[in-house]
Amino acid sequence: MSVTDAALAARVEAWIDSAGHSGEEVTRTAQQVLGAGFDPASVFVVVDHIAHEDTAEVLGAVRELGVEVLDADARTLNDRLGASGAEFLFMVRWGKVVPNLLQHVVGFFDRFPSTSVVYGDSVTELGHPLFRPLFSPIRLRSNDYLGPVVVARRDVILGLGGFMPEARRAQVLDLVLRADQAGRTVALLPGVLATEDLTQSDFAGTSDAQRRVVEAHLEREGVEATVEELEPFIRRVRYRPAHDPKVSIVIPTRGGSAEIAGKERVLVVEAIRGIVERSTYQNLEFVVVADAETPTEVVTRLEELCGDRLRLVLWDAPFNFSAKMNRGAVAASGDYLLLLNDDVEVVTDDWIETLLGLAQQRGVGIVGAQLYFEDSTVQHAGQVYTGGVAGHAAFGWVGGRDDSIKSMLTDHEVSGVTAACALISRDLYFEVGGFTLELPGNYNDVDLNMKVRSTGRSAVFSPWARLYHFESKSRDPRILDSDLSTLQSRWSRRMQVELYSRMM
Amino acid sequence: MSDAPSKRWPDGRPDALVSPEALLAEERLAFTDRIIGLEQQVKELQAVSRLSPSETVAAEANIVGLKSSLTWRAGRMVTLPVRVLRHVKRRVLG
Repeated sequence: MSVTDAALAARVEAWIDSAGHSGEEVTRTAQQVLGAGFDPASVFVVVDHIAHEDTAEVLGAVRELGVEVLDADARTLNDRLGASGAEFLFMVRWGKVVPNLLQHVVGFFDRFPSTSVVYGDSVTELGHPLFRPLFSPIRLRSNDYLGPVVVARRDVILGLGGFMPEARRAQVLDLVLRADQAGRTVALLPGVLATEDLTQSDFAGTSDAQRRVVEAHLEREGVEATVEELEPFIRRVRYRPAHDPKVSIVIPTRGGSAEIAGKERVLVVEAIRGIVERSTYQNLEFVVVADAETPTEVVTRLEELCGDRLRLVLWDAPFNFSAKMNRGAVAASGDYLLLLNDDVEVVTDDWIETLLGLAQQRGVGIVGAQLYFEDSTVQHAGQVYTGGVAGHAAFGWVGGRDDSIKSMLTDHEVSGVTAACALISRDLYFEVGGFTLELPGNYNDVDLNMKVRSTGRSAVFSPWARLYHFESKSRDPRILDSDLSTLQSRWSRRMQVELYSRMM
Repeated sequence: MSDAPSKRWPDGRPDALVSPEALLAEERLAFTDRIIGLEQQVKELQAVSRLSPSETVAAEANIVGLKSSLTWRAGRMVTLPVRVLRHVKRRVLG
């Protein structure tokens, strides 16, 4: 071992979680950890006697390697943490770590000293990448996506009060949730840290422990919500909107018709009929920004449908989507604006509660829904920004398709959401200047998302708020060069690398 | 609210017209956007990185990937004479 390696090894300690693994697997992981340059005296295998019917096999294998064993009990872990002289604690949960793990991770911490916790990508044994998103606290509540290796500064863990007895079997998830709550920086290291087997089956009650940790986290945050397990390790958090605020649905329209499923329909009328008849959220206002050429009978039908919840606003200038939406936002009296196209149809009755509950979470700025084409393939599951241009995640996916981190089952942070259906607080909309008039037709929603994100808030997508969006899949968006150059003059450098929807 | 009689839209619907106050609010929105847009344009032109640590590392990895690609290397080969000439010109002419 060179002097440099020895100096590096003196700064780190590794804890290998043995739960759910055979003695042979634990041995293999420990060998890889030692091979990465850890000092054997700083490598510990954490054995949870609750998690094993018989720990003898694991204990025997570990002793042969000459590394120490730690009991998973929080007091033991905290005692060891206090006694350790290491700067960084590597928590290896499964898989085989890469040989340059230490240089890679410690180098990242040294380069970005404000970072408190780091996690990274992995690959399957066949070499398929398992990319992880930028830190996503909303997603983390539904899925501990952090992967096989999570590294934290020891002083940060101590500052957070160490490990909690009630978080047994989900210590890492609990630690990261608490770190985020305390304002610590949790960062993705976009590079492969380990090779892993994909196992979807629960082990040692881990999934249940994770659910309890998330429930406790929500309670600490003062969030009223229920947590349902959808499948092992994947949860749906149902947020109860606080205070039942008024939501203004802002819809621009020309009162046009189209043939949907073989039937001619007036788009705005059917969109609003669906909302009135199906939505369970009641504190609504409909702000319809109607062109002067909107047929009078369409206006009449809207009045019949909405009654005194309708606010009609005239648009009598050349087409400008951004300006129409801004006009609607000004006319709206709700605390939240639900920006909506007129060619949609509600699928899930509780879509507004779903969007609103997320919009009320700490740090969330704008929330979008899952949109389907008429043929039920996915039109929108969040936007992806790369190379200075924007596209849609999961575009054209058929039902049931998902990525390795279950993005189609979990509320999660995205680069942006389409304004075909997006919920934002009215205050925030005004804070960021609404839609830019410089982008009258295209990319105005991308700009809005970027403005929201530049305030430090996030854009969140929910697969649980679902609507049809009868926009043609082959629609020619006719993007002008000027649209692109205007967008890029503001955000080009912020839109180069997509790090939220990396597997979609 | 739109309680006007259902005359031909938009005639006879003063409630659907935009008030001067509303127009002012729309202008204020546009003004706010303009300021934010200009601020962002200035940031785009500044040398300081706009990326988070994760984005910085990912962008650097992309560049490394690009530079190791066959297309990049072929391009470097093709432009080699031009680059050599440019280098010589700089050396000679100062």
